[in-house]
Amino acid sequence: MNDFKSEYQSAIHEMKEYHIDIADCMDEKRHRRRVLKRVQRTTATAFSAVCVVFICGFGTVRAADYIQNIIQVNESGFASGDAVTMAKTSAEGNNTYLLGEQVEMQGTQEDTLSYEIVSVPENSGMQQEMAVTDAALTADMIEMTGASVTGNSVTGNSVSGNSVTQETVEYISVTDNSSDTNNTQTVENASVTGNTAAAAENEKQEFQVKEIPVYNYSSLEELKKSEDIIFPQPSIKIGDNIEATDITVCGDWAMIRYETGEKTLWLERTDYAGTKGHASSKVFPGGITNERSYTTSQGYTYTLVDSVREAADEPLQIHAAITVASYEVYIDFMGFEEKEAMKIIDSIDISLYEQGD
Amino acid sequence: MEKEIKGDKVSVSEIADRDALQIKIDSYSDMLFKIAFLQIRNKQDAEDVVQETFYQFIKTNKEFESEEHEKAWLIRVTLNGCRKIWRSAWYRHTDAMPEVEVPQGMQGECESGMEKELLQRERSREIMEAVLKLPGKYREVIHLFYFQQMSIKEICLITERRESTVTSQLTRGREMLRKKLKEEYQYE
Repeated sequence: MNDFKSEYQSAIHEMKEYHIDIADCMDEKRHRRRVLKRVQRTTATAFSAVCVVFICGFGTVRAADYIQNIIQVNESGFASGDAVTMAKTSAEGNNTYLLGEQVEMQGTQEDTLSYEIVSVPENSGMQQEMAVTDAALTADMIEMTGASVTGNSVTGNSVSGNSVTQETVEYISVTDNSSDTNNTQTVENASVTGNTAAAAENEKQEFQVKEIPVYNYSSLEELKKSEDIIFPQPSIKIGDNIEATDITVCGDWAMIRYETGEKTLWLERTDYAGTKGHASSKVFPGGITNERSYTTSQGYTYTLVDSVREAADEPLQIHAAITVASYEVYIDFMGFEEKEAMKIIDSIDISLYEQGD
Repeated sequence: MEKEIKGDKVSVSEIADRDALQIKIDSYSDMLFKIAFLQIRNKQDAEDVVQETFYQFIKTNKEFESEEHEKAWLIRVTLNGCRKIWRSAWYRHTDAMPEVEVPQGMQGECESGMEKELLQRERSREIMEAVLKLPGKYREVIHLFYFQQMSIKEICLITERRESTVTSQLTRGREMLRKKLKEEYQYE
């Protein structure tokens, strides 16, 4: 057996002998070059670190942008959501579900209800919520968590398809001025028809029932007294005589309806600041037409559409949508002329949404 | 009395000092270069480290108790210089291909025809490759122990490590070499 020590020494001795001259040792230029090399390496390392910080920073910025909402116009109305969810939604196909077009109104109201379903792409883990707009707030609101509603097709007033796959669905019953907000219960095999959602007969699902309090007010003064929310209103006269003002606040969603003669104005805003992501849609019966935009004197650009009129004598319905900061704002004009609508839009100081952001 | 060397006027005493210094450099440069090369596996960097070591040696004009002390100081400065390079993020993130120094006279030596010599050279190459593939801390200890023939205590002083650490590093280094080398060697 060979001796490692002698073999190693022999191998090292076979290496080319190195010689250095004293002049080379004292070579300041070479020393400086070496120092420079070290500095370059340090700089390269620092640059890499900066790149990492930049990328992380970009990620943070991207995360901050998450709540930046986008409003798009489709054939039925508006589709809105945060940029990421919208991108996912468009990549995976349309995940917006129209639940119902015409819903019988409670009490004296017989207006058309628009349903919004905040739908989230499959397995996104984001919150799904189905929001009912308009004044009929006794209609149920369903909020689904751990969202993974797949393959639901919705026609007319019923939801068909048996593939609601999430295990837990929060069912939020909305009742006027309800004080009981913590009521929860478990429901199995829920089926929803009309303004409820259908679920698979054979699939066992848990529905956690939670109530979101809904507050109704009949004047702006009352609203200001009771709620600390940002909800800028038109600063000009809407009509000669406002016959009714209905205000509803439900969580981050608030709506005001002014009635003046044959004209009706709805203002609706939702604050998505507290959400991780969302996608929703606002659907108008009969579809929409004449998409256009209008930029206010403040520099905010609204997207406007008209409802498709089934009869020539039907009043014009103009719908405006805009997203400001974390807010989504919808304004519906019924019976207003285009010019009147523009004036009203112009008079609303929506910069307040940004200030409050 | 003054002489002109490379455009600089230097005194005779300075020349004498320079000569003495050159002798010292000659006696250590090869050893230090080999230590540096084995540590950082890059000829250019190894040369830089050696030059930097002598630069420090001359600049500090340090007085040593003995030649052994001087040698130990130079090895320590060289190893520290290697670590400085090795520790830099750049070096760590650069996948350096070890520049295996082919033993002198090996290239194109087929004409020698001496099988024994060829086998010896092949063995030397294999050993060098195996040592160069060891992790730095083991490589350092192996080299100081087997080439510089330093005792574990001396290695401890130079590397500023505990005796137990050096012993275990030496043992592990040997185990690694045993696995890497085809041929069996006597390590003790």
